[in-house]
Amino acid sequence: MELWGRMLWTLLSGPGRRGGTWGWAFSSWQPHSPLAGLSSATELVSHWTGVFEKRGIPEARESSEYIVAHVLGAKTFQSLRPVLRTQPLTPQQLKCIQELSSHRLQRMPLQYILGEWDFRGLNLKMVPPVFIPRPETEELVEWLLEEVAQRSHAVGAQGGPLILEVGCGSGAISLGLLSKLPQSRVIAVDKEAAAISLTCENAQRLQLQDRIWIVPLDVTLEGSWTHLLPWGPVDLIISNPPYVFHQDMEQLAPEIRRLSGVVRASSRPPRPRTGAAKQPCCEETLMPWSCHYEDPVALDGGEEGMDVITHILALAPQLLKDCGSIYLEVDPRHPELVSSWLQSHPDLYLHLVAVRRDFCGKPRFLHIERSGP
Amino acid sequence: MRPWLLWGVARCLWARPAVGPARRPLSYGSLPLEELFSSGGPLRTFLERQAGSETQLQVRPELVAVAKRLSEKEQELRETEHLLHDKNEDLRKLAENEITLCQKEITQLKHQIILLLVPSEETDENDLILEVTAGVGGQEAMLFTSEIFEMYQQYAAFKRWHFETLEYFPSEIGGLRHASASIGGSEAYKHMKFEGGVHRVQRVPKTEKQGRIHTSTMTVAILPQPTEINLVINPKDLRIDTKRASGAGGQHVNTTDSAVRIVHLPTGWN
Repeated sequence: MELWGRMLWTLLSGPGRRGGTWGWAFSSWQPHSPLAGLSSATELVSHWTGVFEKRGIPEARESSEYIVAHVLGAKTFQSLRPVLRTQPLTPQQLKCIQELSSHRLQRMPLQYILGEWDFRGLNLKMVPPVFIPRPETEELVEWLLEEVAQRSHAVGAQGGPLILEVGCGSGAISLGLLSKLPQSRVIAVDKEAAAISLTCENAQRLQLQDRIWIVPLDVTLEGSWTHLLPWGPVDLIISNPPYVFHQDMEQLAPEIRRLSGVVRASSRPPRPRTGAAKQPCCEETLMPWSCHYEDPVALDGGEEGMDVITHILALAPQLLKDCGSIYLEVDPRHPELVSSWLQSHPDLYLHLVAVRRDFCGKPRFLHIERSGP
Repeated sequence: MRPWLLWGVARCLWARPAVGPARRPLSYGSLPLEELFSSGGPLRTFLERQAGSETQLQVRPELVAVAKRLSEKEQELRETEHLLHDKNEDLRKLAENEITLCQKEITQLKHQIILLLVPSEETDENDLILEVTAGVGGQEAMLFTSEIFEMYQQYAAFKRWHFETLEYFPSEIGGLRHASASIGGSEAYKHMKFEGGVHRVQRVPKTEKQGRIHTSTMTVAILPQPTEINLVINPKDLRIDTKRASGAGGQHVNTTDSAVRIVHLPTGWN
C-alpha cells in the first residue's frame, strides 16, 4: 500500500521539475517508512531490554538505553533528537550495539562498557579495574566545598587549600575539587599503578594537570608518609577509602566482586559467617573463567572495614596542619567505630566533629578535625 | 520578502512628487523627511554624536558611515549651490544637474539612515520551526499543504538555509497532513516570520470529477527557536524523591541510577 502511494507520488511529481534543486532539496529528507529488517533506536532498546531482563541483568532498560545512546553519540537516550530515535541504524552501529550488549550480559559494569562516566558534571574516563566513582561520593565533595567556602578567609599563604586525597582511583574527587576551587592544589595518592595512570589521563583530559601531583603510594606501609613531607603539611585530607567489611565482599553484585570461585588470599583467614546469611552469589555463576571488574583492593577494608581508615587517621600528626580537617566516606556502621577508635588514640589529637547523611539517609560522611600539638 | 514591504511602505509614507522639467530643485524631497533631518534637531545631533564617537564606530559601523556620507553630500550640495549664481550659463546648467543628483543621493541616504535606526527584533537571527497542517478541504487541502511545504523547502535551499524535516505525516494520494521542519540560517526568522497564518486556495482540485472550483485551506505556523533559554524554576515546584536503598549503598552497590528522582510538580516532568 505504501509502495503504491510512493509510486503514485513519484509519477505525480516526476515530470516538470528541475532535477537539480529537487535532488538537493530532499537530501536531508528521510523516508517516512523504514525498510523491513533495519531497526530503529527505540526498537533496539526494547529488544535488548527484553534480552537483559530474561537473563536477570539488573537495570535492564537503563543499560540498553545507555548503550544505544552511546553508539548514536548521545549521553542519554532521552537527549537523542526524536528524528534519530526512529531512523534506521547502520549495520556498523548495530554491530557495535551487539558487542557492547554482550559485555553487559557478562555483567560488566555499564561504566566500563561505555568507557566513561560523569562525576559532578565532569566526564571521566573509566577503565577496569579502577574503581568507579559512586554517586554518594559527589556529596562528599560537596560537603568539603561548602566548608572551604565558609572558611575562605583562613586560607594558606599561597592561596587555595592544599588537599591530600588518599586512594584517588579515577581521580574523581581530586578533579571535582580542582575544578571548583581554582586556587587549590591537590596531592593524589593511590597504591595501584592503573589508578595512577587513569588519574593522570583524566587530569589531562580536563586540563587540570598543573595543579595536581599524582604519587604512587601505599599509606598502609610503614613510614610511607615520609614521601609526602616535601609538600609540607596539608590543609585537608579527603578520602573514599575501601570500607567494605571483608565478610560482605562475597555478597556484592557480580558487577563488582570477583566471579571466580577462588577466595582471595589475605593475611587473615576468612571469618565464618554467622546467622542466616544470603546465598553466596558465587554459586550461581556459570562462567568457567575468572574475571573481576572492579579491583577488590579498592573495596575491601578488612575485618571491620577500618584498615585503611585507621592508617589515614594515623597520618594526621605528620601531614595535617593544626586545625586541619579530614573528610571521609565510610560504611554506615563506621561512625561509632571511628569515634571509639579516636578516643582510644588520644595521641593523635583528632576528634569527630560531624557526621553527615547521604541522600538515602544513611550516615555516610565523617568530618574529623585536628586540634592540638 | 520584508525589505520590499518596507520600501513600499517608505515610498507611500514619503511620496515623491513626479519628476518634471518645471520642478524647483530645492523642494525636492518630502516635507516630513526634511523636518526629521532639520539642522539642530534631535536626529541631527544624534547623528553627529554617532559620527564623533569611537565606540559607535565598532558597535554600529554602517550607521556611522552613512551619517558621514550624508554630511559630506550635504556639504557638496552647499558648495555646488554657489555655482547657480554664476555668470556662465553652461556652468549654471552643470550645477543644476549636479544638484539634482546630489539631492537624490541625499534623500536615499536619509532613507537608509531611517532603516538603520529601526531596531531589529531580537529574534531575527534565530532559527525557527516551521509547521504546516492541512485545514479544511480534505484530500485537496492535503495536496495543497504538501505543495506549500515543498515550496518552503525549495525556498530554504535557494536561500542556502539548513532545512531539516522533523515530522512528516503524508496522506494516501501524496498529500500531507502535517509536517514540521527546522530551518536555520542567516536571517531565517526575519524572512519567515510573516509567513504564519491560514492560507487559502481556490482551484479545481485533482480529486474533482466535475470541474467545480473548491476552496481549501492550510495553516502555517512559524516558531522561533530561542538561542538561550532562560528558565526559572521555583524550588517549591520540585519534589525530590529518594529511593532508600535497602542495602548499605555506597561502595557496596554499583548502579547507573542514582536513585534520586526530581519531579516538577506543575508539569509532571521527572
